[in-house]
Amino acid sequence: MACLACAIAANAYSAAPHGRWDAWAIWNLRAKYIAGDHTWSNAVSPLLAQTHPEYPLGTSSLIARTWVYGGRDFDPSVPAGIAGLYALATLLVVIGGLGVTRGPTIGLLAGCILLSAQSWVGEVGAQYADIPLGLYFVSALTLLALAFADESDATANARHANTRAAIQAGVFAAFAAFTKNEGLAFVAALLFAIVLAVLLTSAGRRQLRGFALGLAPGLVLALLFKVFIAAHDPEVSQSVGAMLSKMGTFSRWGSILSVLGARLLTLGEWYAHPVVLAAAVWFVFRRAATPARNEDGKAPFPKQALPLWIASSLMMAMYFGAYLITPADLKWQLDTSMDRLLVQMLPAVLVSLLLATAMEQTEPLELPAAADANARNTSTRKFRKKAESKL
Amino acid sequence: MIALASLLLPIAAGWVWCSALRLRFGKGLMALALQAGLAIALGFGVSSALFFLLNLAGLANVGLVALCEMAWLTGGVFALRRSFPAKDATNDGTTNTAAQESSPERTWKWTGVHMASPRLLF
Repeated sequence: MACLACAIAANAYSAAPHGRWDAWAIWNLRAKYIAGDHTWSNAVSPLLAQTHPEYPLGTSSLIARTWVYGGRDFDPSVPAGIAGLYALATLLVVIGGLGVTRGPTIGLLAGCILLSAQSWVGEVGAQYADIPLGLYFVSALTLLALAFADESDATANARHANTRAAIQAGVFAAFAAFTKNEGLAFVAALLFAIVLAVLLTSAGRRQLRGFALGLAPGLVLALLFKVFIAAHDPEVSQSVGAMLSKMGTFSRWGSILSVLGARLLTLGEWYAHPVVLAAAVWFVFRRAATPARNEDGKAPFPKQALPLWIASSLMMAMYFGAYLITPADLKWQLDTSMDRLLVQMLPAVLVSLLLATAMEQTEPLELPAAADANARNTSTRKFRKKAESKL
Repeated sequence: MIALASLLLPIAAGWVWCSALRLRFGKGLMALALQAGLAIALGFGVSSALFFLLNLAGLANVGLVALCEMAWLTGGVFALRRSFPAKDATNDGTTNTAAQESSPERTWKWTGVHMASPRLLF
């Protein structure tokens, strides 16, 4: 599947080496301004009114940096190569993240599901910033899952490792805010999700502090850009009354839902549709792989997945809200952006969903009193192998 | 090609910093995949922010960018060395050092995720 995905991306590059519309009109164009001699301020010029000069400069800066290394030759293989590396990293984080937390079988299946999404693979050749944004989303969520790992039998050092994972999750959330405007919404959703998870489970205050620590420097940079450098964002120039009026127009709700349904259907062919495949994997592994069940026969919900579910749901709700109040023509906005929003969220939703396929450790480990942590990990591995062999 | 090859520098720095953070990935190919993905994400994220800041300061020439990225990589190597002190004289290599005890899932015996471990670097 990876070979097929590479072939599709290579074909897209040969057909359109400068990428699709947004790539050459927004991301690569601004990268050229940034890489040029003292022309970077053109990248945020209000004269680029039709191509979002208010967007953050994360992806464009990386392309510009690489062009500067190459002697400012503006070779189109640079943004294409960077897009490919971002996609590769996303695939690795999805496979590795689920592989580490839920076992290699789920990890590899998740990788196959991601590659089965036509929109996601097609977006790699388009060279848009949605794949990088999706990478930062899924990296932050994966690290958050690691940060919220069960600490009941953990050593002090393991707890510190969880805090460090939360710090790194904050760093990736800040990178998302510096990549696209949606990243700022992601930061808000993630903060809300962690606070809610802390309130619901009365644990995780250390992780919250760690996340805030990792988030702060990058978020300050992103906010400084938005406040002092970026052009005015048309979405925030609307009056509250106009926004409320749009929210009360139910035909807008219907339009958004119908386009969302249609775009979900076209994510892939029916026999290899990522939603169907993910649901099948979730159903099979949630039912079959959970070693212990509650008194009512239901598999316990892993607390690790809670902040991820909250954040992913909130993000989808925020996207819905943004469509409701958009100052642009709704039909045009939906037709030109819904696919990309699904591409952004697909890896994150996949990880959030499959993290609930609990191959979690529910049997108490029998450790000798003086057993060191290595022995504990050996037992964990043995238990995992045992659980996997039951499948 | 030189331009694309230059991306190895932030990826390497991202790898080293991910190792230095000593996250509980465990071992094996899955851990290797996760660390590789996070290394690319971290490397590209920091590199783009660094270049943006250098641009703001009007210092975005190739020499300074490379210098800053090398400094970032070197800082990561030192952070890694601090996280995993090299084998001391009292240890014969068959048992874990204190540092390995503190991070039991990241022993030196397995060289996949730990390719950038200080034991191999120093």
